[in-house]
Amino acid sequence: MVDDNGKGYLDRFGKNAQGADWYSFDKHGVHFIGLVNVVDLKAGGLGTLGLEQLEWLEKDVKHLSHSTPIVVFAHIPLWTVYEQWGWGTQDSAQALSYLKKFGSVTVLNGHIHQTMQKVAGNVTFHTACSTAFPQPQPGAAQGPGPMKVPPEQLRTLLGITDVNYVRHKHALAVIDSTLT
Amino acid sequence: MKSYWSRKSIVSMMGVLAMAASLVLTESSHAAKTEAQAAPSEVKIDNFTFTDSSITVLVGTEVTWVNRDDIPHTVMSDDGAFRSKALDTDDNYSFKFGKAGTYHYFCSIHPKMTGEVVVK
Repeated sequence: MVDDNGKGYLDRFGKNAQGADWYSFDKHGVHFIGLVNVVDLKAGGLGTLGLEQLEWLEKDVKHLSHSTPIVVFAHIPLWTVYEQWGWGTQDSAQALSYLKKFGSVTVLNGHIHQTMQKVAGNVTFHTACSTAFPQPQPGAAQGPGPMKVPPEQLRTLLGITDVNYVRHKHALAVIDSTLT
Repeated sequence: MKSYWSRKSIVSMMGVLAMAASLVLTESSHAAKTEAQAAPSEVKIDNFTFTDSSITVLVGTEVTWVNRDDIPHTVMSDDGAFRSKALDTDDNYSFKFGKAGTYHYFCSIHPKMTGEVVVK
């Protein structure tokens, strides 16, 4: 993914991919959008969506009714968690502007190896834990590198996230659980 | 009394002194050049940082980046002049700078990590 500009990944998983393989699909009335903000990163920058993907996103949601529940997932957080560690996406504001009209938007992100939530209007952001290693809270360490903890504590800092859609509820039920 | 130092001999003595002086100067600037060449041409990668983030080397110097961090990093120049594969812990990457200039680079996985190589 890193050395070959994603060619190996796309050859295997994205035969008909657009760009770096962003896509959307509908399931039970919910519109899911998978965005890619980890390629073509520029020096000193944050995550990037890029013009082509943003143009695609604008078209993708243009004709959806405002009551369609939207779920967006992207690796790097789509809000600025901590700029100094690159924990943000430089052009996410543009993407989020296309989703402003919707009554329920859930954004699922990873990258920072800890859970965080943010609510902004109709948009709820969630990040998930890693199953490999935890990372420090913003600014709590010199850098965002893997956080070393006593072995018996490790599995309490790793975890998975379950997401459930409860009909007629405004927000998705997002439940984070640790490995122990 | 006739001056012991004739004009001719003064001039030629000055010439000898000048030559000697320029020889000494050449020696020391050569030594300085050698010194700059021997200056650090290794950049350490650790804790999401390139150290030293700015180095100055002479044309023809090979710079080696060594990754001592727990996670992979890359070395990628802003303008495409050089690019490493993903470097795991203890992996290294070298590039020989054949042309003078200032080369800004960053880690393509963690783009907040930046550095520069000034080639004189």
